[in-house]
Formats: sequence, C-alpha cells, structure tokens
Amino acid sequence: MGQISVELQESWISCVDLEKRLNTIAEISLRECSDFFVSVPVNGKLMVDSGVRLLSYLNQLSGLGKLVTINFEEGEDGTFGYMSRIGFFDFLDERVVTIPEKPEVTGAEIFKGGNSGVLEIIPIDPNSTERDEKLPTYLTNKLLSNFENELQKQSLEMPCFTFFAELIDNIYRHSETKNKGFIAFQVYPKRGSVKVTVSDSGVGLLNSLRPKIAEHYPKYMDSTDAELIEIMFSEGLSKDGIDKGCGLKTCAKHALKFHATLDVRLPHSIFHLVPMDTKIFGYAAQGSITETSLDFAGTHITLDITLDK
Amino acid sequence: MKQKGDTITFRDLMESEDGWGREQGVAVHSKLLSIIEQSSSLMFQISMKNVRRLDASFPRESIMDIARRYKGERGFCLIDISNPDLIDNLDAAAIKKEVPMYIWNNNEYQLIGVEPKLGVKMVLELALSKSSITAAEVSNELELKLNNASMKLKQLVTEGYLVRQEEIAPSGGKEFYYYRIK
Repeated sequence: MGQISVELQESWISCVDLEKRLNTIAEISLRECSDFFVSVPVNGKLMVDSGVRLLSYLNQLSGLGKLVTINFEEGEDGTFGYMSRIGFFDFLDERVVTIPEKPEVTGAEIFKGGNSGVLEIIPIDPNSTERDEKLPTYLTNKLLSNFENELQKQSLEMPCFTFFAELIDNIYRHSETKNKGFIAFQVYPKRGSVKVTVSDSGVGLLNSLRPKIAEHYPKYMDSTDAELIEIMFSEGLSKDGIDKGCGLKTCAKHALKFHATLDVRLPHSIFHLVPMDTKIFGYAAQGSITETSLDFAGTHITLDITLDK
Repeated sequence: MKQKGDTITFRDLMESEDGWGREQGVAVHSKLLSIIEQSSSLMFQISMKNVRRLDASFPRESIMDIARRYKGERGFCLIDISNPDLIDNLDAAAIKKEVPMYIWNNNEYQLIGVEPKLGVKMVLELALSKSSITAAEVSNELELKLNNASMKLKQLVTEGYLVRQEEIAPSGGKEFYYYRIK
C-alpha cells in the first residue's frame, strides 16, 4: 500500500486539466493506495467543475478508509477562498484533512444566494424519497438571471433546463449509491462562459447499463465501453428499457447547438464532445474517448458554454 | 358523423409551467389517459400554450407514451409550440417511443419522431394536403392500384401517421375515410 501524491497545475484548472493531471498516475491504483495527497499550488485556480469533481473524489476516497489530504499552498487566499465560497468545505467528508484547516464558517454560508453568477454546490441525495420538484426550474431561473440580453436568455433557457433536469434525474435514477451527488454552476464573465457541472459517486452510467444490455439491447452485447458511450449520446440507451434513455442524447444535442463542450467522466473512461468541423447529430462536433488511470466511481458531467457563439 | 377532435390543454394537467422527468410525466400520463378514455373522439389536439419548459423524459412518459398506446386507433398532435429547443426535446421523446407526432401551426405542419418509410411518403403527403381522403382518391391521384393504395393507407394508420373511420360513402356503401391528425 502506498501514497498517491498529485500536484495540480499553476493556472486555471478545469475538469479537463484535473483529469489530465490525475491520468499521469499509473503506478498505483486507488484500491492499492493507503493515502491520497493532492496539492493545489500557488496560482492554481480550481474552477467550479474541477472543484466539484475533486469534492466527489476526495469523499469517495475517505469513505474507502484512505487518508486524504488536500493542501492549498496559497493558504486562505486564492482558490481556498473560492472553494469556501462555493460550499466545497460544507460537503467535504470530515475525515479529509485540509491545509489550511476548513473555515469554521464558510463563504457559502455567509454569502449563499448573494451572487446570481454562482450556484453554490447543491447536494443531491439519491436516497431521498422527497426531492425538490422545482429544482431544475430554480437552477435555470438563477442561471438566466445573469443575462440581460433577452435573445441570449431565450437561447439558453431550454438547453440549460434540459441539462439540469436530465442530469439531476439521472442521479436519482441511476447512481445506485448512498453517496450524495452535487451540482453547481459558475458564470465567468471575463472568459465569456458558463460552466455547469453535475457529479455523482454512484456506479457510473456504463456499470448501471451493462447488466441490462443482454435484455434490452442484445445487438450491443459485445460493444466496448467506448462504443456504448457513443451510442448513449447518439441514440440513447437506458437500463430501464429501449423506450427510455434520451436524456444524454438531448443534452449533447443542446450542447452542440451552443458550440459548447461536454465532458463526461466515468470510472474507466472520459467522453469529451467538442464543436468541430465533422458532424454528429447534424451539428459540427467531434467526440473523443480516453481511458482513465484512476477509477473514481460515478458519473461526472460538465457543460462548458461559450456565450458569444 | 362522429366528432373528429378534442383539444386538451396540457398545462392544465401539469403542476407548474415546467415539466421534469419520468415521475412527473407518469402523473400527467394518468390524467391524459382519463380524459381520453372518457372521450369518443378519434383525434386529440394537445395545446402546449403556457407550457414553458420540458425536458425529454417528461413528454416521453406522458404525451408520447399515450400516442404509442393508441397508435393505429386514435391520433394526437401538438399545437401552440414554436420554441425549436422544446421541439428538439419532444422529437427525442417521440423517437424513443417510436411514434410520429405532428406539430401544427395553422395549416403548416412539422413532423417529429419516427420518419415515414419511403414507400408511403407520397401517399402521406397527399393525405396531409386534405382533411380526409379515401383509397379510391389516392388510387386516382397517384395512379396506384386500388388495393395498393388501400394497403399503404392502412400502413400509415398502423404506424400512427393517419387515423381512419368507416363511414357511409356517397354510394350508400361503407368506406374507410383516412384523416390527417390535426
């Protein structure tokens, strides 16, 4: 048993950057490691998507009994403050060691709801029998309140509602776990973009689907993970039957209308959809699938919308 | 002659102006079913007036499942929609339930969901240009044999593109009249 030690980048850190850095670890698996140490260097700026994924990953590891530490080298300035603001520490497993120590009162607790450009992390409890039926509406309205241009609002409205609705529903329906999932978004005015991110620590879409492939989709019995992911996004698949499973397909279609990127992280692979010159679903897009070296549980999805397109 | 169509205001069946997910869709499905079962109409226009947002799962489990249930017997179409993003979600829902669905805007239609097969497209286009049509009329206009025209029309009914009703023909005998779902 050994340690996994990761130092993140000294720059803006998106989920793509986070995964790239995690993917450099090949010599030891999560199962084999006894402790996990992640360091955010000075000038390292976690973005909302990498922050939310890291939250899920660290919670998973802690739940497995690993000794987990996250070190913010810049101290309470910089990205530590942002993590406090979005509620990272509010949902971080109490056994995770943080350097500096977690704030007694977080920025999320103080300022919650005070900035429409930030959606503080909302936990989604898949085991709850009562879910907030108005959650996708609330999230969509909050996100739209950041825009004054009516045309922009109208164009964002349905895609964002679809994204929130379908992906939160997936956590309830398919994650098959006691662990909470998370959703958050951040408007980046200088960057001219919005990131919406949903993360759960369940079994992952493919592991949820595979036991039912023989029953519902026998023609895909021998498909690889990569092939199944592509079919999931182009045709739609569901463990609940062939007449279900259109959520991801519609999310992808709406994402591409915006020339947005869609990043989906599963335990063993990452599917990344970017606008390009080739066509998928009639929109210019290219999908790539890469294997992951660390098999964190769950399904982690980020939609990155550039606002001027 | 039987009444051809009822209009259902979909918003009246929803808890709010937004529709989310399978559970909410199933709840509306029950209400829709109740209305349809109490009606003798052959066709239903579902007005989406004041419906603001729907994901794909909600209409899949409500409208499109109902359309599939009655495919070949009764017809459903949508009116009062113009948002192309909403139409995309409805389209995905219809495809999953393997049904066609018309969206009418005055006399213009958009067909979403399952596309008609090539062999019946011309017959469908002709049928959609009129409020009703018979096999004999199709046979004459498209220069098809009568039993071929009849077979194609019947296929369009079975697949949900048209509805039909047996009525008294001018000759005094009985004949099937095929109706566009509007």
